[in-house]
Amino acid sequence: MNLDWRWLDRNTGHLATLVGQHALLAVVPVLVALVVALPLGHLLFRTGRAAGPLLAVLRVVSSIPALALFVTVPLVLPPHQILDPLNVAVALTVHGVALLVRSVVDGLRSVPDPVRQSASAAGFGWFGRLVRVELPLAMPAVFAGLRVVTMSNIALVSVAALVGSGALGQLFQQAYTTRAFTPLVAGLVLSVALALLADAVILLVRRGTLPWARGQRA
Amino acid sequence: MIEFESVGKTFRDGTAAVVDLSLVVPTGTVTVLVGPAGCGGTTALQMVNRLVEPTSGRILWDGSPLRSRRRTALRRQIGYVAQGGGLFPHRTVVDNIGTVPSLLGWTRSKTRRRALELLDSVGLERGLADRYPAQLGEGQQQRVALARALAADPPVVLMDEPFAAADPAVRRELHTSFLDLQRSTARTVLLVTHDVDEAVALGDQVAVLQADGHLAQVGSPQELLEHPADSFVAGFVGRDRGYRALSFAPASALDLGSVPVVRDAGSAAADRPTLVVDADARPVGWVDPAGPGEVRPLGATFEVESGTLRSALDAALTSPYGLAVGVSAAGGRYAGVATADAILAAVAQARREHRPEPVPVREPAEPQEQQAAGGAHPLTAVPLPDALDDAEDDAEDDGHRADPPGDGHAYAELGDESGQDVDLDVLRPGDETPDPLGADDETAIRETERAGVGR
Repeated sequence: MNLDWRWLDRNTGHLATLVGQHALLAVVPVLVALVVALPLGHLLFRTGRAAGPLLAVLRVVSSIPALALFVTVPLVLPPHQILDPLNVAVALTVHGVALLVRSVVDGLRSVPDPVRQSASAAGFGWFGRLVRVELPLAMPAVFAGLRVVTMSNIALVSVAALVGSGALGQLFQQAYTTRAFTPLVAGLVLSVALALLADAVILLVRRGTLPWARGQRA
Repeated sequence: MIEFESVGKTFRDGTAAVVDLSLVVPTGTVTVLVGPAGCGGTTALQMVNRLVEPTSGRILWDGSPLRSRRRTALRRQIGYVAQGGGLFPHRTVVDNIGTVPSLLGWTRSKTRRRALELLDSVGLERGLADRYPAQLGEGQQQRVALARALAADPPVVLMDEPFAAADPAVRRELHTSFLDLQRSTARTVLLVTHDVDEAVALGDQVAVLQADGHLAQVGSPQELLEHPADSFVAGFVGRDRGYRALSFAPASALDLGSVPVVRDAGSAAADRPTLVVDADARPVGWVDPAGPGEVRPLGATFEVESGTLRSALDAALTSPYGLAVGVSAAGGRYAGVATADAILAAVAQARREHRPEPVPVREPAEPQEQQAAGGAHPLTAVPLPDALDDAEDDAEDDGHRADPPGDGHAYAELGDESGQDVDLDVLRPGDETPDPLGADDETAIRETERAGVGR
């Protein structure tokens, strides 16, 4: 069970490409999901009591197994191949939205009433209040959601190897079919490294954009 | 001027928060809404900047209905301090304070300059300017909230339990800062609190609200304490309202006695109360008879010129010898002492001057038996000592506190007649008691020099 260093050496370029793909497939859906989840979360938050059942629906969506989504999305989307990476991206975006909306709602709910009143009383309109006060204050919760979604996406992209694209996941398939040990280890190490790097980047961005929340739980 | 015209607010769930409220908030004064939890004070307050819209009646600002103004424009003219401050946690202190100015389109530098200015006026260091609210103490946060409300110099300020989160000592400081600000620029302030003491301390006018949202009584703090309209108000303003009412009687009416004064606790005879003062004549404590050279704590003191009888009585009650130590407002220097009896006598005197009808005015020379025979009012039965008769004359003559003989005797008599076991020697002027310090003790401050000390 020794590592095949020559294999690694030969495949450096390939591995780098896979890492790049993996990062792209995992992160782009997170960003798209964030853009969708912010207004959606706000709308849900504004509905007040109705937000409860809607959030429950979203929780169900987020608990659909990733593989099921990967297979379902091509059926729903306009005709194209089932092996298209777009399927994976869309499925992960849906998954991410379901999780992030909850974070946005939690974040907006965490804004203390006196703060919200103070913002209105200072003469902010509803949009100004949302953008200048409520959303910034919701960001710690949103960042927490981003970390969870990013982690789970990096893991799920590997599963997508079963439907054709899957970046580093391909290494696991290769290891399975060829009974080779080295691709398995390479895939694992690179996935974990990517996850840790992504988490570190999120924390750095949080630190930079939310200097006031330093010391709070991320 | 803000006028509530039969304003009511019933929430969607059927709760009536405010019921038929008619109230005038005069320009340039502080009106306090006080009541138990759920009395609708906050709702009434929030109707003024239209965070809440009334369901009946209307509110006028200088004659024009609030509804005729644009909400955001209206709010930028009204300062608001939310419960607990409501500072924006993600904005620095200066940015918090500059919220309304920047919404009004002030330039960045002008806004910052104004914010720094306000830090000064609410008593905060400029070094705090770029901190975040979470990095400040509770009292500091409340000061920032006050500064933020005043930033654009609004003619009207609404305050919702602005000082509730502060501990009592900080709260007193905040009250002082607030009153100083109000004195320098008289704004129309509407303030909500559950604390009667706060209402009495801050309000020019106090409106007492009942738990069901009805207005029970409006009046000056003094009126509320002395003539509560009904049992609710009487119960709410509290059992010790008589004591609170002493806040309205100036301590300057008191005649002060004297005690021996030393700079060095070790140099005094320990056989009677002797006050220790520092080099600037500020009282430090009492000579401890049990341990020569030791100093017993002073207790509270009261300011002779600006203090109230309440502070004087409190000083007497906290003093180890039952003697309230009076100090000058400027410099806090020792000015004289008063017994609790003397203070109560001054209360009696004040009552006679304010409300002659219910209390028979008697000559000071009248026999004392009446008191024993069951005078209905124990306080008013305290005889009027000569010195108190002279109080008004003396008030014009600042020098009277430097004349121990008359004062001392007056207190001695008072002590005798009211049957209190005060050590009368304490109150006798220096010329009748041996000087414990010795004539050539340079650390001693002779009581006869008190006039000089006090100035």
